Amino acid sequence: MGVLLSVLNEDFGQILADPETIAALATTGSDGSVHVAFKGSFCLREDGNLEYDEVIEASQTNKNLVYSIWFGKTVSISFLAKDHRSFLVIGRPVRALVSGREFREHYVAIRGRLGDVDLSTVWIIEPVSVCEQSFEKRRTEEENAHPLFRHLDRLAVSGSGL
Amino acid sequence: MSYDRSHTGAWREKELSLRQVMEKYPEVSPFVIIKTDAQRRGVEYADRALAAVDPDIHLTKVRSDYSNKEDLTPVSLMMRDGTSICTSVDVGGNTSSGRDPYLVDVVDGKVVLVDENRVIEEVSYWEKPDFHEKETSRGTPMWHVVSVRPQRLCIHPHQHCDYWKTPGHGCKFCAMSAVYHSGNKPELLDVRDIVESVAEAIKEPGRNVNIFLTGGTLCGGENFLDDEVNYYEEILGGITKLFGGRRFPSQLISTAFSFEQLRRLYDNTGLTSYTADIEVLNKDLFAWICPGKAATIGYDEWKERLCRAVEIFGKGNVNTGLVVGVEFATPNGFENEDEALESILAEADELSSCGVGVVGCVWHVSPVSIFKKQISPGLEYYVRLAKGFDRIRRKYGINVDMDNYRRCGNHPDTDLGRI
Ligand code: SF4
Repeated sequence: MGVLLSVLNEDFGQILADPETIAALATTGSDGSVHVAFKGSFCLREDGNLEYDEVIEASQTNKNLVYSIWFGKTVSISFLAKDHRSFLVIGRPVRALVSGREFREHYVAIRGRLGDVDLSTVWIIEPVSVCEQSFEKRRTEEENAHPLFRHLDRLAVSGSGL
Repeated sequence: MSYDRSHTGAWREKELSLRQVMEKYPEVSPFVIIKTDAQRRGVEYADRALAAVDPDIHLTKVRSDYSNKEDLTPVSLMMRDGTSICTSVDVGGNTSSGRDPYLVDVVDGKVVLVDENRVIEEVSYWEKPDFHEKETSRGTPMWHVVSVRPQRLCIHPHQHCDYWKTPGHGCKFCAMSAVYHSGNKPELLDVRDIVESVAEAIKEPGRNVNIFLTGGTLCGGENFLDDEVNYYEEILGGITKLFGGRRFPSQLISTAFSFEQLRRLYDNTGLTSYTADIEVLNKDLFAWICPGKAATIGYDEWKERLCRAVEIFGKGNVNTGLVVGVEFATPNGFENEDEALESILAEADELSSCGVGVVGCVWHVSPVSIFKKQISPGLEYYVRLAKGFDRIRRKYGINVDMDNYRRCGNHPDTDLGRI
């Protein structure tokens, strides 16, 4: 997984660690509805997986993550860095830590950061694909890949005399 | 081990396999199906799996109502999705209803469940809490007083049961009396020991989400069961002080108390939820399988007391547990799974209509119970019944918070309530 994330050619961990980075987690549940929520607690683990602290046990996100790990579904996480670069990670929840030493470390840490909150689950998400989605990068990539997808007025040569 | 590990083990030909059940019920969590089967068949540990146990980290010692062990096998297992598998090596040897248990082994550095030489799923061992090796001021090891699940403190104050003291009154699936007599447990725990142990246990951050009490019936007192009520009132009263007199997430599984007894418990302690296990949802089978309960309280009265408990604790805070599978015990049990399902789900629906949740425990036939030679049903039956209980709870809007995967972890049907 480390390889997957290193293709970003960026210190993705730093972007994740930056409190100004915005993360939107999109999940689906048993009824097929998509649920998107902004989340503030993604980290990159040493093994290249992502980890995410879910505070609210009965949240739709948590239910959908359970649904995903049960039935092998993927989730999408969009990250928007403060310099406006954005990244999309498609991942598969592979573990839900709900107790034990590692859970306790997260529990103590999140309460240190946020005060009197609880912690439901530390979700471990294995990236299955990663791409940079920054506007300029994506626009250039797509125009190169699909040169026919453009309006002609953009191509017309001005001052041709006709 | 003397189990038949071949692919042609006779029992395998008589019932759907794990894989077949998962394929037939793709809408049911495969984790819950695996858990159900592991609880049904039990587990045993390969040498590699035992070598992976670190007694400083993992939970190996337990003393509770149905267990009393100090060896170095893990107490039980956790799955990747946070589902607990509540299984342990039986006191008196493993029976598994004649089926070979799952093997816990280490493959590619991971602890896994193995069946027929196939890796089924990764698991991990339950971890030990901070308080476990400490002693109370009376010198009692705290693990003798409070047993644990990954997120729950379990207290079993009365480690025997008065029904076993009257010939013919013990429940036929129950191992409590045999476990009590095979060990060195006191019959009644000391209340100060309990409160001190709980006080120490709840210091641990991020560990416990529920305090659970259950024990054998105490019939005596001014009114029938007053001794049991008084004992719980004293214990819960002491624990309630640890929470400043407020209510705290807690569950009591007791004999079915009268409305007045329950009202007293609720008003005088911080208890939040209540369970009285009816064990089997069929009047005739109840009388046969739970003769003490039937003789002293009766089937209809047991149900009535559950329904009235909802007036005190509120909907979603009262339930009843079944030992799922005993309804097929011979010679009096059901002979047909469809008939059993229809009958049990109809009674569960009726109880739920008055706000009482119905939860199932997987019957792991105990080798020291009266029913030790009985055979539990196939995996598919458990899955169908779990689906039925989940559907009924959703129909009546009964949430499972009091007995869910974290607060208990023993019920496949309440695991289904996670999504
Ligand atoms: S009431 Fe029945 S199941 Fe409970 S401890 Fe007594 S004999 Fe066992």
